[in-house]
Amino acid sequence: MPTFVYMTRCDGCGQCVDICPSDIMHIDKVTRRAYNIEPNMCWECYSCVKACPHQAIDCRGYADFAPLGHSVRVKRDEEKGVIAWRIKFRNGKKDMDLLAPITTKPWGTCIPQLSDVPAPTQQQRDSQLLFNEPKYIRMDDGDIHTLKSNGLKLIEGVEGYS
Amino acid sequence: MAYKTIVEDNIDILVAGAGLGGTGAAFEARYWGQDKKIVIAEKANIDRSGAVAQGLYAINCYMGTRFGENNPEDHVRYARIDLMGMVREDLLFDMARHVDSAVHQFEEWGMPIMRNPKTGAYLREGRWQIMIHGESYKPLVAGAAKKSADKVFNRICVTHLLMDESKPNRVAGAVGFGADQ
Repeated sequence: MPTFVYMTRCDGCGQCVDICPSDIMHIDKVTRRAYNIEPNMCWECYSCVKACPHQAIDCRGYADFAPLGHSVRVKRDEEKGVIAWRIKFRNGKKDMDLLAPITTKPWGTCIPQLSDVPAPTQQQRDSQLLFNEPKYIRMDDGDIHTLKSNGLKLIEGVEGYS
Repeated sequence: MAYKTIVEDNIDILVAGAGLGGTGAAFEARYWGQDKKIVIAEKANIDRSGAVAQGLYAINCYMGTRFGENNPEDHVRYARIDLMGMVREDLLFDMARHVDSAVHQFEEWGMPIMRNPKTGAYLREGRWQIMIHGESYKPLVAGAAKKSADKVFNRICVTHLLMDESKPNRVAGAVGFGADQ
């Protein structure tokens, strides 16, 4: 079942519009609030629920397993590096608080800027290595696996590989 | 109303479709072509698009060669049997020998991967699967792509490639439409 928006919490910032993979979260031209234009096409992927800075979006669970008073809420926090789920069952017997890390490093800081690292040498360009290889593949600092190094032969009919 | 429909942008590398593969390719391409113009066109938003967009709590293919677990040819053998022989072994081998370094880079970027506290090896839930906290798998890799690409066009769905008349087998452009128009 689809997402819906708590109109009093939404401020029309449009983060859900940007993130929705199906492009079905739109801003209402009159009320300036987000709404789901095509509930039938909603995947319940929760991308907009996580993206909303005001927790203004919620998902209705399917009628066969979660009607009447259930709730699945989520808060994703890049600064703290965690995602927190609260799942309440409608029978009141289960109320789960789930917490999982989404990163081990300060968000977005540990990705290298590859236009600034030392450029690949001609020898690297002529090799079969990718960036950071062979260092990132093997512990013994050996070279990358090849058919030859692993004692393999190409079966006849398979071409274009050396 | 006049739409600006033709854009000439001197693009060297156009990534058409940026799921996990496209975003990773944009990152890797920046290393080998540091001065090239790399542009991404994706029909949704690269932060949440593609097969792992909503997160994935396992990486389903990891050799673990550094922990002495599998070699690439083991995976080729497994996949060949699993798919009843309908495989390109050369492509499988190539994927298998490079996949570990991609995973090690993800861990360096901040992906939480569960380890055995005694041996340091990644915890497995199957011969090829390792366990991760992967809710932000895609946003993490999309971050690498955004850092590497000169421009990211979200909501542009590329449908056709245009071939260069003057040079055989070279792509000169692409046709697409705005998915939010």
